[in-house]
Amino acid sequence: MHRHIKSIAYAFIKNDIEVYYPEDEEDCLIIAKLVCADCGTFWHTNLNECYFCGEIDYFLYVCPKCKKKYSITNQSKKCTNCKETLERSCLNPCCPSNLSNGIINTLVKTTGKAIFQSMSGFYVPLTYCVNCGSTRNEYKTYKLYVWNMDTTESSFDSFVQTHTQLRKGDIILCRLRGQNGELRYGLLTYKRGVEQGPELKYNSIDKIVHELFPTKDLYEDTPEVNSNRCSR
Amino acid sequence: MKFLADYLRGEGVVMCKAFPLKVFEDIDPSEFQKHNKKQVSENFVAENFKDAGWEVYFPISDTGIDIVVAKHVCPNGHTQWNQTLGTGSECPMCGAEPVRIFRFIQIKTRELKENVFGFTLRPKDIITDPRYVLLLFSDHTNDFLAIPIYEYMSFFIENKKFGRSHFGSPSFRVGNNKVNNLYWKEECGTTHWYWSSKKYSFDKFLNESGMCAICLPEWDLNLRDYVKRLSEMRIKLFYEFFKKGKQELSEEEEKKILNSLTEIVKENKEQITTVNNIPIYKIAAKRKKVREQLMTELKNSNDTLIQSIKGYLSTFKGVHFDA
Repeated sequence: MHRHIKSIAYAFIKNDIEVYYPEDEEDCLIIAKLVCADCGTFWHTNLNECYFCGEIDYFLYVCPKCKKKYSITNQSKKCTNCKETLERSCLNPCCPSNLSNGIINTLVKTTGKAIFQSMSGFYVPLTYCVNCGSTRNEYKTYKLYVWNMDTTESSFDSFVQTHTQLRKGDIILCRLRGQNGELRYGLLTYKRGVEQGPELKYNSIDKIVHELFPTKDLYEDTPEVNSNRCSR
Repeated sequence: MKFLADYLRGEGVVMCKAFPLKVFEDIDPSEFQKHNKKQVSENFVAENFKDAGWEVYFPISDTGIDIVVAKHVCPNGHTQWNQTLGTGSECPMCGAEPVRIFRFIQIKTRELKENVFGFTLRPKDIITDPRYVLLLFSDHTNDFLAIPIYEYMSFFIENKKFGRSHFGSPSFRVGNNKVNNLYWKEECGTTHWYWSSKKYSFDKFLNESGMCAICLPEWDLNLRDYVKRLSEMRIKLFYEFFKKGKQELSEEEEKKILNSLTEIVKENKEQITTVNNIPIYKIAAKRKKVREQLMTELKNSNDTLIQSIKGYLSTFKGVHFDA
């Protein structure tokens, strides 16, 4: 694999994009990412959520008595106020595991393990999207060809001719080092009849990632939960 | 809409041992030990996929998916399991323009122990993309079981008792549930695989038949539909098949827990509104509320803790904690 292909591959990996390479084709990569099928937000299989209410893990210890929060790197595992043993419980006060007298609360208590405690069996990898709450995930995938241009006069036609496996829908990523040493990039979705390379309008792979893996950020638009009380 | 069974009926289920081939003539994959077999078995699988007309792609960093494969097939299912349609070519049977299909292959290579293929499946392995394939490679019998995730999940939905023992147990949720129900049997020189008993044959995923199964363009052409179905199956298997495990709870209490879980899932899935044509589920609003409460609690008193949370969550792009 050419060094510039490796360089581009790692620029995608830096953005948490998975990169795959073929053994028998040049200048080509597959880039993929597991995303929410509804809003495109990255789907993190390593992020855990509460099995009962879906609240994410905030990596905190909580005092079961006074509810004071501590970092999980805290040396002492006792609350400084009440001397109670700290727990990695769910931070949602309305979680069934936090509602006394409920059956879920009873279940959690019988195990002696708080929700996010290792091996508790009460957390699962992300089930609901961190942005919109959807339960659907899919791999967004592209076959990407890297056209490392020597000059702005490089022939697009000859690049296409030499890459015989190029197909309609594949992405061509153009890369050119300008006279000032700065790298510029352009993107093109290939189809028959295209005769020119794309405009080099990007100055980083990060921007290419935004273009290829767009997300609809709904944090600010998420409607309020009206009630201040727990519904159960 | 055609399903796997229809395709197999059309093709005839092939059981001969022409595939997989022993592509590495100088070695026997079964001679490798646990510590050094991963790479050789992944390459063994990859070379066999290449022989079956697939383009094979290897990960640059170890991120979970072992190999990605792609090929061009007729959208009407006319392409055989060991064929691909070349650049510029149309389906010779119907003239349709080929479609590219991707498969995300998770390889699990194991030796048989008392004719059982034992493997571990974690909750994080259950992806709702139908193009995700479990490739179980029995290196001692040289068998591939290529199981599309949709078929795998459907089996457990249809056979509730297996679904409950596989997905309902606490050991599955903690990620160390060893599945020891997949049996190998040789009869009259022919290999057979089944789940738990002969009644539940897995031969439709075996070798050529398995390769037929994963070639279906159906998953790609109706991706959104299958993603939706898989997400519903995932929720069902994770929540409706809850098992109490070793906890000392009565049957009545277990029933109450199951009812409670059903309610929770129902409530969380309930769609409350749409923003930019995207459904926003109740859970997004609930999480927002918890996040805001936590921010309010910490922002005037504990900046170190805020930085700690931000540090951990920074690993997960798209997860914000802005005080």
